[in-house]
Amino acid sequence: MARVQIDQLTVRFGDFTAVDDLSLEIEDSELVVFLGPSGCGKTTMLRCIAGLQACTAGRIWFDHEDVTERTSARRNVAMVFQFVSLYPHLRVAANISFPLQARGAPRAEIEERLDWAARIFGLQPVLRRFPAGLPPGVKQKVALARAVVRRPTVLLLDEPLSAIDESFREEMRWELGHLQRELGFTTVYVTHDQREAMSLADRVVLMRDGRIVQVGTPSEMFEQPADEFAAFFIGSPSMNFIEVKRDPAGLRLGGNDVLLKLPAGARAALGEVGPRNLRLGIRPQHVALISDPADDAVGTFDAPILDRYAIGRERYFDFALGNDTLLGMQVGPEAGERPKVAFDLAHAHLFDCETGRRLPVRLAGAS
Amino acid sequence: MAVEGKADLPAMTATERAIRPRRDPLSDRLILGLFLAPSLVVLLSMVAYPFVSLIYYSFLRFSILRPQVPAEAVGFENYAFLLSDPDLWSRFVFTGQFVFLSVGLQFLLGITIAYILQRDFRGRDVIFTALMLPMMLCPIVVGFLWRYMLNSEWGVVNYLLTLVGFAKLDWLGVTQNALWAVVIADSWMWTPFVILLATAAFRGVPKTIYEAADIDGASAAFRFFMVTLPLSAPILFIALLLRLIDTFKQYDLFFALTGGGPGSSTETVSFALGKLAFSYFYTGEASALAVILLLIIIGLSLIFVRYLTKLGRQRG
Amino acid sequence: MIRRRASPAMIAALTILTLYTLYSMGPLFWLVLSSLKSRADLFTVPPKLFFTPDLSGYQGVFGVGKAAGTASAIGLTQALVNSVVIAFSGTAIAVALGTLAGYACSRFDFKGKGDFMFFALSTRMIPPVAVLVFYHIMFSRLGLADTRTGLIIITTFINLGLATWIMKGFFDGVPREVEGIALVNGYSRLWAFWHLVIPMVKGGIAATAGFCFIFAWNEFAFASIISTTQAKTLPVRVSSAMGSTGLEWTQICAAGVVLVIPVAIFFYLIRRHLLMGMTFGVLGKGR
Repeated sequence: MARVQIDQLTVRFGDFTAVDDLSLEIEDSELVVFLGPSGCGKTTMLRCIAGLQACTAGRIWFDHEDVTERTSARRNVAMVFQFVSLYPHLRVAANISFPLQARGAPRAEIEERLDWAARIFGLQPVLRRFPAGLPPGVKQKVALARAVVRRPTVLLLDEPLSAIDESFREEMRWELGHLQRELGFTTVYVTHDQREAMSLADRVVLMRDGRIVQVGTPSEMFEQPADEFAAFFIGSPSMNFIEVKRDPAGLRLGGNDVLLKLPAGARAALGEVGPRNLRLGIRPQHVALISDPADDAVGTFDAPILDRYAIGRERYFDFALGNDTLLGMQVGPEAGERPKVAFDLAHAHLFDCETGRRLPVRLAGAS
Repeated sequence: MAVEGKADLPAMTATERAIRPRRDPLSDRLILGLFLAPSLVVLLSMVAYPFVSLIYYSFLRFSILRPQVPAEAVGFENYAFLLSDPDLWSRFVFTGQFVFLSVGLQFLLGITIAYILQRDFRGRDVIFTALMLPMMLCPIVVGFLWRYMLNSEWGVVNYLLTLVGFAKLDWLGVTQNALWAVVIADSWMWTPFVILLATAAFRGVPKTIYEAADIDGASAAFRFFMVTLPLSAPILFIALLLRLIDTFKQYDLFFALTGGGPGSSTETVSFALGKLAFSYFYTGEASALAVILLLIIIGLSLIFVRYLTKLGRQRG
Repeated sequence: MIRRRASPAMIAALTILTLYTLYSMGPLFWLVLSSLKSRADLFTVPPKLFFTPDLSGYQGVFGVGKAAGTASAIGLTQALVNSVVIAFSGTAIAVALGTLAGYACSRFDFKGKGDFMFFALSTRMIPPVAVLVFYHIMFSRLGLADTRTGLIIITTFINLGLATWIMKGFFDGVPREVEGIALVNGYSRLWAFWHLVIPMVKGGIAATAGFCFIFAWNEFAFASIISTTQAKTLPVRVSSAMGSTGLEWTQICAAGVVLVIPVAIFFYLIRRHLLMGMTFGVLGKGR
């Protein structure tokens, strides 16, 4: 257990920069999830922390020790790989106790820790078996047991659940989170699945093209995305984006013909924003259909409803704005005859079209 | 969905594992037969006549040199004669020593060199290819070459020995030395075989397993003995088996290097066989000896093969 | 990997490698050197490193120059062609058949599989000396004596067991999921075999081909018995060109050099497959 400090880490492969000047501090016992699309550098990052990848520049600290020059063996890290890498020629028990044997631990200690690890993950029934015949979920549990058995300084997980059946994944996710809290290892977890990140992380590090886009708790990432990419990547279903133009009464949506009325406070705040092109972002969860709102109600407007449908327990509707089709979710009772689309302005965001960054404008200002 | 040449399709694995691969038993059996048949035909047809003849003639007294003299059926007389010959046993002992030493040296050196060559460095590939050369030579040439080099008077080996302060050795005139002479010559020639297969075996260990071992804190030695070697065992056993079989058969080298000498002290069983067949032309006895030799080799191989299959079944 | 400084282990490794390379290349160097010496220069004490090159060894081998007019009817080129054809064909067939059989034994469990594998191996156990005569008789009766075809068959036979065993070993290292995935997607096993599995064992095929070629090329015992004039292979031809005047060391060395060059060329041609393609496991596609 330790604090991990990553200082201006850069990894270059020839012309290609995989990780670009990345700095981050990870607290003791924290579970940090590196999230991002393929090729964003998250796995490279992880391997740098592990000592499997040499960094072109930058330094890594565990507590107050500079481990940048150390080999993996001397960093006391543990890693669970995406593609199972258990030792095929050893039984599960030998696999789990391998790290202890490699470091020459006394027999009694090995037995004790093996027992402990096996108990935590419920692996007693398979201790005598070889990895070959085991289902992927069990294999990853063995890998996890092997990882925690020697109390590593940092626990590293590289998309460990990706090879596991969807149906078991959620259960394992829950177990993992629970275990991490109980055992308290500083954990770095890599995934491209934002649901996984949101459900497990103490903090999420969203990456793209080798850089950090945003760092925050899951709710921060959800409620206050730093830019359009973050807003789009996180949350499912993904956020709606609409081109908007300013209007004295609020905003003109998608093309010009639909007016979104804004409260006075919001209009004032809008006025402060300099001349730039804007985009409105709002999640489908915050778009609803209501019947008979007051005529001058803010945040509502008329739009053709293209379709209404249900997926599982969720009810959705498609509506048109200009040339785009957007998604909304119906929560609460069914809307009546001629419903209007309502935006929950408290959860609507404005983005700068050029930079993509979110503007700190509250659209739900007081009337 | 196009399936590319590489098999890292992780997203598939989860689902596919739940579904058993659709096996069409009929088409599989067809393929099995089709793939096996040609080899079976070739092997059987080539082995049938000679092997049967071998056994047949082992029960006769006959000489190819004088086919007009009719063969006499003498039952097990040939075998009895051979097995009661004390020289035969000493030849077996000698052959055993030779095989053990030569193959042992080949593997010791071969695995060590393959281990060293794992790490990439400049010129490694060139060196690797160059090291393959010795086994490409014609065995008779190798025999003569070493005979030339090991000559006690003008051989280059003895010359080098004197350069570093040792006395000249009589390599081929003293039995003990001659044994080492053949061992050195044979292992010099065949160590590349082991290097090649060991390299292949080592490369077969998945990279992530090495990484896992590194992270687990294994030292290079620990990793080599506890991970690399065990995982390479199947191929190394095949290599061992092949080398053992070939070394038992070794003839050309002895013919050229020692001629069985000094005296007849470096005659292996194979060499004795050659003498019986082509110096004395005692076809019957030669056949009997061949059968004996075969039985021994078969016996030893069976042990090995059994162990190999046990290993394979364990790993799944 | 994190760069490691030169450790004592590395120095030891380098030393061992250097020593072994010298030990391995030394005699080869001496072979080439000796092949260029005149008879007198061969037996000097101390051995000569510098001398005027003398081609009498090679002349003897090729049957030209001073040695012209000796030995049998066929020129060297004929023997060379024979050897090339026979070695290549025999290797190709042995590798092809062995690959198929090796795959079958790796993937399928059938009754008598162990027996078949052992039988294939046992064909290699026969000391040629013991059975030369019988093969001669057999081939004569079949009209295959002294033919290239006959020798190709022999060459294939010698190498088939080796090829089968080595290829099976390589196939064992390819996980069954590879074909499994293809099968589930509707591809036939044959398709999977040819398009997926074979590319993965290219290194194995190269190694097997290399070994088979060596044994095919240097095959002497059978060749000397089966081929007497027309189908003479190079080793036989070379030895017969030497035999007449007794043990001619320069000629032997020259013959050794001449004989090894085609094999070396073969290995050079397949070197990329040997070095890069040789993986048993596929799971090692770590990032």
